[in-house]
Amino acid sequence: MYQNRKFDKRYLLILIIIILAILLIVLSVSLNKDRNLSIPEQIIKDAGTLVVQIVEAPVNFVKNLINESTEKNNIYEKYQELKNKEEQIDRVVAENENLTEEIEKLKKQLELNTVLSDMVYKNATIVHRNIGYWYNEVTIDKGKKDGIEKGMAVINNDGLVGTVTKTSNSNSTVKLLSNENMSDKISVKISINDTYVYGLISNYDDSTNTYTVEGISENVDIPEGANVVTTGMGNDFPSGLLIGTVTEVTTDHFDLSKVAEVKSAVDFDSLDYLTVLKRKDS
Amino acid sequence: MNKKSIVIICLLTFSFIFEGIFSNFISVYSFFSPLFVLMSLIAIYPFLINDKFSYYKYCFITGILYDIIYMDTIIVHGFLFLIIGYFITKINLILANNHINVMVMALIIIIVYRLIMYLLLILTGNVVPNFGNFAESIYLSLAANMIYILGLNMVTDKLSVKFKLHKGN
Repeated sequence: MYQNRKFDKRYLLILIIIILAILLIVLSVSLNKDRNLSIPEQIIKDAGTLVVQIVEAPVNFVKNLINESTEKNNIYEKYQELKNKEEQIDRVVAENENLTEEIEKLKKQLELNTVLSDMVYKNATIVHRNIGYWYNEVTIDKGKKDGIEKGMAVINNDGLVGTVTKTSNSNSTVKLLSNENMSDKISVKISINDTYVYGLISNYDDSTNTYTVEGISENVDIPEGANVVTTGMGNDFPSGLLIGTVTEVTTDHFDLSKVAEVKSAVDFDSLDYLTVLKRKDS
Repeated sequence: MNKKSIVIICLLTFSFIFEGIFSNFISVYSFFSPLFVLMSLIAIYPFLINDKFSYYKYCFITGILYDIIYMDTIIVHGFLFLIIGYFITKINLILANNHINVMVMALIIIIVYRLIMYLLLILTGNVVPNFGNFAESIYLSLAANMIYILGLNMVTDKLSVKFKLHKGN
């Protein structure tokens, strides 16, 4: 009897070590950004998410009713806000038309088929969010059948939110920029009057909702409140997506370049609706 | 399929779906971070106290589905829920099944789950070690899950009486 217990415990320990080793390997493989979901995974994920969406529908309906009634209370403030915006809109539309025309002319002149800022938009609703606390991911209700592909940039009204990392037929997983691995080495430019200075995002701090941008030229004065947008370099994000605004500028340890703290334009705590961006195919 | 299996599957399914829905109605890093599936593993154990093989089977299958539908990982939570299931069986040997103890169990299981997951993610290079973040992940998970396990335990008590199911200890 005693021998039997000893035998069991020894093998239990070996079993636990083997399981942990397998878990490590599998987790490394699973969380790899390049991994595609297998067909059975896609089918089960689609079915599961569909069930969640169906059950969620009445709850969403009630939520929308509550939101509507709350908004109705603020209708006068909204009206004033829209009135102010309306006064500016004609000027912005005219400017936009002018710029679009200029871009088209330049494209023809340079024989370019696409420019970095050419994008197609696809709106999506979040189905569930950040269940695996550390993953910083949300699932949206658009998938391959809607033209969503891995690597597409995702934004909301405020700015850049993240990128699509996994897709199945009817839903996709979006990794948020608040993920430590995601916000690493994104190429950005800081707008100063009519010029830009370039840098790389090296870190995200979730307690202050700020990014650290490194590698900025030492000779440039960066004002607080300057807008930080993506450069479009690399394959990850199109150009011109708002990341945030500069809150503090310091120099690095060697006094060779500047480091900017950038307050994220997006509040990752309250995401509801997202837009997936696709670069226009040539 | 007997009454007990139906009740267990219903509890697991409800918790599974409710976790997805609940996550969508709270902010991403709120004080109500849900781990309802994990809580349901605590709640179903008393029904399967004499059939541990079935209990581990439920843990593993639930984990696999959790992996695919919510996490985009493969079998990680399958094994993880098995380990959690093992801890639940051991804790049940020490603590009697009452409302207070169930909440203590929930606290231990949340800590164990977060700790294992955190260590795995550190070892695979997905998370930078930071004790503050780890502690935060635990206390942000307490409120909602404590309330949920308490409610679930009350429901299973009622169900065991209504359907004459043995809820052992």
